[in-house]
Amino acid sequence: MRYPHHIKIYKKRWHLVVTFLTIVLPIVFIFVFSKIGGISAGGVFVDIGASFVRVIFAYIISVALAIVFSLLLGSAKAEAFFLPLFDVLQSFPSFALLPIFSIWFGVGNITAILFLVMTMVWPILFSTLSSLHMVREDLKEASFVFGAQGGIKKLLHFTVPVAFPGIITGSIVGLGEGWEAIVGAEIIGISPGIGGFLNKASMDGNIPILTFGIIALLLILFSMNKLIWLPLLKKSHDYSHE
Amino acid sequence: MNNQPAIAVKNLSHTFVTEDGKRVEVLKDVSFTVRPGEFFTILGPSGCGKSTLLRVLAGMIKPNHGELLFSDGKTSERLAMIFQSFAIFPWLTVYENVEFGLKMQNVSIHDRRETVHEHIKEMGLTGFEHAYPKDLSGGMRQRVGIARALALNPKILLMDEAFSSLDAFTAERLRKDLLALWSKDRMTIVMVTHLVDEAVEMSDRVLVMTPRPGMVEATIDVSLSRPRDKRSKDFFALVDRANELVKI
Repeated sequence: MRYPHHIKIYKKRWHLVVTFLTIVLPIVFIFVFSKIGGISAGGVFVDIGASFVRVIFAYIISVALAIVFSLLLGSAKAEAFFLPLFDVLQSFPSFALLPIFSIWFGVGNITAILFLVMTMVWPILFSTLSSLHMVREDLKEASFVFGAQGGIKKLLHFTVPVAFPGIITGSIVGLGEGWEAIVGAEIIGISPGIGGFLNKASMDGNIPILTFGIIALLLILFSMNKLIWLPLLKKSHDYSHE
Repeated sequence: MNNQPAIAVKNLSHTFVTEDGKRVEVLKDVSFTVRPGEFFTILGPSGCGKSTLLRVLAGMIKPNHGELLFSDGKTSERLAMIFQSFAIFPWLTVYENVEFGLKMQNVSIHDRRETVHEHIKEMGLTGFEHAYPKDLSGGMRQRVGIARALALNPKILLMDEAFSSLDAFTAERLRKDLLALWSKDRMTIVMVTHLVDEAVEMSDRVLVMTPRPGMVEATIDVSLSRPRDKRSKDFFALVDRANELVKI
């Protein structure tokens, strides 16, 4: 019943071991397999790292945009206007924008990140909005009576905790879609990146290296989920549960 | 003696407009005063606007007409509320919930620690400081709700059907605990309830409201000595009188 931590992942020594392994295993895996497959481990890290950095950057921008938008949409009037617009934008395929972005910004990181933001921002935005909408009326009243009124106090001590579960579930969906999109974009041409790595292995007909790339990506995503998103998801259940 | 009322409500009327544009008159020309340190109860059938009235007192609803005056001005500085659904924040621990009001008033960490621990102990929540609401029973959750309200050392305590969603044993126990705390602190209490027994057991005065639109039907003085014997003749006589006044 009593938890020493807010985020409950290091409750036991066992958790520390799991955490250590989830970080180390993917790295060891890449080193060992590169050695066996006769490719440069450094090159694999550059490819995966490039994809990774794009997704992280785009995610930070997306989550910031989603939070700002959902706060601005607080009033019924603004929402009546913007929600249908966002709904159309959401269903618009981001890949359709990739060619024009490439002309404007070149085939590089700016294009990749813009394209990723266009993909990732919607699930985060809609899920945050729905958290804000579904807030219990009595909690709203209690926060008012007990002084979380006006500007920053209400934002920090009421709006943010209420939005938190939506931000987390939205982030998980958004990152899933983001990875899908970046691998696609890299197969088409943005390089370096894991998508390009897989594409090259496929062109070479090198099935072991292709399998290795897929498993390496899988391991890294698994580790990210295990280390970051699962604990946050668990925490968000605390926030919304009653 | 201070003759100035703790709360004075004058000719209060309020009409809601529903989403499809219908106008619902909830309160009509309600006037009453609450004395300092009094346990004042608003009794009425469901839908009579008593909860709306309490929300007007809490400052959550601005009424269409009428005046509301506290002893310290248009709004009361030290006002707290206990909710039917407890309304404790699920993202905060017991300790943080009790601390919430003090934190919002910018009381320093050092100063609020003592107050919070005192009220946690007072409500029998010691050992549960770091538990989250989801790990608590209904009765415990309402104890947190009460501790959160009392931690503010309120001059005015509003209670909205505070015992209605608890089982009979827990409700009885919490009523007793709350009365004990009130006899010690003597804050002004305004309670809303639909239970006649509860109103007569706890209050100094009971205001009976009519069904919608809510108007003042009558005010009953409950001059029974405390603690009250719920099986005495006088108690039953008052319950009967209140029951006759409540129209459904």
